[in-house]
Amino acid sequence: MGNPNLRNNLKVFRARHDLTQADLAERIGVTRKTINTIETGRFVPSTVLALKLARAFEVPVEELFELE
Amino acid sequence: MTGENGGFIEITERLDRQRNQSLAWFMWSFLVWSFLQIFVIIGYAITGLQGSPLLPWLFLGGGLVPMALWVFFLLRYLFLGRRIRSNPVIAEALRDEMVRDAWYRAAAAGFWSMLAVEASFTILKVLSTVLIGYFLGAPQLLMFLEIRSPLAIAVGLGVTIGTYLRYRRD
Repeated sequence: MGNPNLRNNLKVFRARHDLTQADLAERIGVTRKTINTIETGRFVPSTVLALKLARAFEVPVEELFELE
Repeated sequence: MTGENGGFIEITERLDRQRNQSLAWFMWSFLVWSFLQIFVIIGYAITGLQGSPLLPWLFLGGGLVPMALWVFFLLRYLFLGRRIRSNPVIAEALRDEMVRDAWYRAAAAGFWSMLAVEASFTILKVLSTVLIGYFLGAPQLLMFLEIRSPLAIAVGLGVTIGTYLRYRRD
């Protein structure tokens, strides 16, 4: 489910945009738990969901997710 | 996306929580009910074909409450599903890829656990020629093999729902 080599900056971007997990979940149409599990690295999102997240913050997807 | 009962997130959180609670209650009451059945079958096997006169009453009385509970929570889960599907936006959120992924993993775990139970009983059946006469009598062994299906279903269902709920925890 998770991938130890994948790091994400979702929490940082969320804080920068002053968004709660619930706000972000509503924006991209998923549950808050999904955002939570992505942030904690327990779940790796699909390309589509990663792109939706990147679009929500108006940044390239590589800024949100990076391989170590 | 607001309604009389709250906004999008409040509604999805509430429905998700209610749905998972129903699943958890269904799982536990079903497991209690199944293991009670298994306990009674083993009880007959240990005490002989006649069994204790208490066993049917234990099965009937003790089995009714968990059975009523699992039927109730299964119906509640199904009704919640219908309510969720009536709103496409909420339905989409509550069937997002993380939920689907959790179900796929739960189904795989349930499949392997059921296979393990089935394999154990197949080995037991193969060994039955050795077991009869040494450890168990034929009627006892036959009754012991009767628990195969209820045990496989209980383990499969318990592992599937348990795995799903574990992946869906915060």
